[in-house]
Amino acid sequence: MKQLILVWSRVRQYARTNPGAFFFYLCSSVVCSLILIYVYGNTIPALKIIKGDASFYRSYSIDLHETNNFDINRVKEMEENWPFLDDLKTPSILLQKKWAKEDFPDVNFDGYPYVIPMIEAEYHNQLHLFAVQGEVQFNNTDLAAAEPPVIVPGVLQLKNFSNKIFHIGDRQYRLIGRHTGVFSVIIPIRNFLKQIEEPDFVVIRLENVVTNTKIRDEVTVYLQSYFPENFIQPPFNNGLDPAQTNIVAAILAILYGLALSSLTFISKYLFEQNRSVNGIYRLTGSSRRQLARIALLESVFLAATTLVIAFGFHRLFYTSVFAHLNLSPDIVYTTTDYIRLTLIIIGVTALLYRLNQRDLTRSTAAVSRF
Amino acid sequence: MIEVHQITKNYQLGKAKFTALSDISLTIQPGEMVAIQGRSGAGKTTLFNILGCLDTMDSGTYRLDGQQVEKMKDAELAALRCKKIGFVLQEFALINQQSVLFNVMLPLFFDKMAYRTMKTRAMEALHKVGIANLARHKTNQLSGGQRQRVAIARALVNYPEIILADEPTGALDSKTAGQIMQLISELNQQGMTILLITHDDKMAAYCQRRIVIEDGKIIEDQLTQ
Amino acid sequence: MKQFRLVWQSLLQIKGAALLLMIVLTLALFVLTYLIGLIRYQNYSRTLLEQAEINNSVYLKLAVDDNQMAQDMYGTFSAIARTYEEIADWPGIKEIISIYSYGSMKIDGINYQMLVYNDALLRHFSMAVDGRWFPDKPVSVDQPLPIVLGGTGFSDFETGDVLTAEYSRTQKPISLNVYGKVKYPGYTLSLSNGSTIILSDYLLSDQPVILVRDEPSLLSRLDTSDQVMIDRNAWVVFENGLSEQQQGELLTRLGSYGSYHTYEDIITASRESHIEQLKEILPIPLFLFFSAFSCLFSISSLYVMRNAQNQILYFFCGCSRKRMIGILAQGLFMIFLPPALLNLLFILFYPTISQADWLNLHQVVLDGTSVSLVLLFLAVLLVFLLLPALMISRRHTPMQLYRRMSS
Repeated sequence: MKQLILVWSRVRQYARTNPGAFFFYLCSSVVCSLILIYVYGNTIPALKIIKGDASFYRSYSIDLHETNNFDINRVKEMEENWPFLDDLKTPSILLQKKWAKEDFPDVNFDGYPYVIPMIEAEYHNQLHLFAVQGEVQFNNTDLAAAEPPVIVPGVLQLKNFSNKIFHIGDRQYRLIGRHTGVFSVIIPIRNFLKQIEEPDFVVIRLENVVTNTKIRDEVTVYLQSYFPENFIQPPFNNGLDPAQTNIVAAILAILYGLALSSLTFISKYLFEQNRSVNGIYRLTGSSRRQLARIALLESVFLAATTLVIAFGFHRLFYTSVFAHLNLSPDIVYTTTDYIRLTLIIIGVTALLYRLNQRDLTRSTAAVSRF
Repeated sequence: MIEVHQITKNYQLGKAKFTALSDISLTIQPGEMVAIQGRSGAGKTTLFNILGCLDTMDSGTYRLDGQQVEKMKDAELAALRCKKIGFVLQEFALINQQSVLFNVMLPLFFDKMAYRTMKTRAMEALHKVGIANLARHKTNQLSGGQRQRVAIARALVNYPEIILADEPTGALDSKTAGQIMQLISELNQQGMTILLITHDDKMAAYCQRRIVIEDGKIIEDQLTQ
Repeated sequence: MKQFRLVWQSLLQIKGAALLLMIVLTLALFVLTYLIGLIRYQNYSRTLLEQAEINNSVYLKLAVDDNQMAQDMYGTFSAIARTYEEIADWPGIKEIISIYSYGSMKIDGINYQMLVYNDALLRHFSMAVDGRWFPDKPVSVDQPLPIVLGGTGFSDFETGDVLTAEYSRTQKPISLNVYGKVKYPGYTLSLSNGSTIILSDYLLSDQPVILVRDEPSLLSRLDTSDQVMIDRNAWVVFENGLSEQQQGELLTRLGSYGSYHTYEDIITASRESHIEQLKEILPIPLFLFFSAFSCLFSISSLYVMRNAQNQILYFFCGCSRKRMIGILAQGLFMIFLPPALLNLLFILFYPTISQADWLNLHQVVLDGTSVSLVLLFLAVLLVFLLLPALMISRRHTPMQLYRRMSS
């Protein structure tokens, strides 16, 4: 308590002795912290967004291998009752079936380096594919034609490249296009349900990656309610691994240290102007260690003050100012982020202080005197 | 009791070595008021700093009430400065932007004393020097004499045994100087040991004993009263 | 010299700070240079496309039987070439811009791919060269074959040089005359990219290549068959004035041969991608710049305040205020100079260094424009440096400062 009173008196001293320099120091520290918060948000949380939205980061895969009771109506019901329309749009629903090489008589698998593709259908025949050749979407004409359409992976090596007929098992399809993917031979849903009784997987594919873990879990619970006996693989986590996060945080801490170092030169000037106070403390019975402790508390106090002001500014003006300045949308600061920022700010300040205060602890009381 | 025996202090000035004190030995009894005089550069301030535990010596021994001071660590020296020694300096050594009360309380911050008790003790010291009514004033609002009283109050707040005063009247007019010396004399009459560094023979006349230093050596040590 | 000693004395007051400032400035300037280079590269790739005047075109990626390619490479290439000849004859198609090759040339033990530039390529994608592109009329067969060198790695060759190369197909020597070298940054058109999304910078390559003109005597000069190697991708340029329906039909027809990206799609996607790329890169450089500026301002203020005492003494000894400010400014300039010089020299020498393949920051273009941008930034920095000195000196006279310090 007494040391805090001394710390407060010292801070007031700086403000009174050199108000211009002190105000500049405080403002610069706040701005420094604000920039750190901004840059932090546009690197670490943003990296989660930037990392990718590959399908495995946004797909729930319901494994139907263990059960033999697939009912398409359950899928229909699940889609109709989808409760997450506010947070997530209606997802794509894919049915998939693994077939053997023998079921693709038109394909040359010699030396084929990829996996044997699955048969796949989208519940509403709404496909999201990139073309290698031809069509990658089923239109009404295709769906109404006698021979149903099929879209195959571009890398699939056909025995006759220009053949427009493609067989799946004993059924014949009309090859309308090739897509850039590797894993799926795509047919209309109607033909999938006719030809294949029991799919191996039902895949619920969301449009975007869900970063909110609460919603991710809620989706799993919802799907489980329709498929209670089946294992549901949730989306893979696209978050940064801890090592990567720590590396980025360390880089930011170094940059923050660099920025703050420049400010410590001003603070050093402030402290120099008030060096006589340190001398008086020594004169009146303070040991070096006590003085060093007081000075460290003072540094932490100033860092904490700028931290609180910076956090306050940031939260207050986040929606109106900082969100617009963000380089990526939907950047969210979690509690962990704020803790990390606090540790960086206080830690770097204390470290810099430690480097600067060596002369405080070295000199005798006589040298500190005047 | 202060006992120093053959203390030497050297300073390195570039490549040259300067001897500030050379084999100084003296003993000061409790309750004595001693004037230390000499020309500029004689070594008075160096002796002052060593006796006040502000600096260390290169050789010799220093015993303060039987304690071997030269072997003490920084924390122990600081404790001595806090509890046993009070300082009164020419330049007052006050924190200008703080109140009189805060300045007087300062040594108590480094002592194990509750904050509430600190205030009471500080007011007591201010009463002793006759400026309790100025407790809330900022020190830079006071006259020279008042500031020196504040410095004396601070020196007294922890009931020290020794007061070290370095030209306490150097920045004051003669009338105020006389008042301050009167106050210091009164403290001595109450049993406090006073060491006074001064150029001024009039101020030295308040003391019972006079020590003259020249070129780092004591050349005179005699009773004046 | 006398004044320099005073300046040096003043700098010694802030040794540590000056060093920190130099480090921060150097880092900030190099990062700025990299950013400028990246933006220049992004603009360069888009500009190249825009200057090609192929607004009404698509980038076609033919679907090719890779099995067939593995079994009969030249047969497949011929099929690709025939397909493009067939497409070129469709009504509504103006021309096809494709790149083909008849092998490679070995010079001083290094193989360089030889690309054939036909009229269409030359019309749309002839970059600026040192020297010139090919002569208007074909040179006689007994003369060295005119070539243009593209990409990086040809620092040993100059325009006008006559080289002897070994042609890969025949192993026979062939004489080459360097008519031109593609100017820095040396990029040439590339049609090898078949990504799902095509950006303008995907269509550039800095690989060292030898470019020859497509002319009737070429094959006999090379003494080789007409077995051609051709990229499966090409630009298909439409005639002007086609209706939307006609274009739609052409696109549908082209879609049956492979997939395509329109010129507008590529430009739009490129712009968006470049902005995204900058967004990803910018945060940390931004922080670095802020650090540099705050460092500058604080250390400059510190420099002035620390030297205030000395300045007062100079003033008592007869130094004018103007000269005092001059000494301060010179000191600050000395801190500022090494990072600035280092950076400017790097930019000036980078084209030579990258051409010689000693250091190649891919997808970065640094040239005269970069220098002027960096100089502008340095000018702003200098103002920031001098501002505190001017502000403090104007506010207080030396006597005022002296009295303040004495009290």
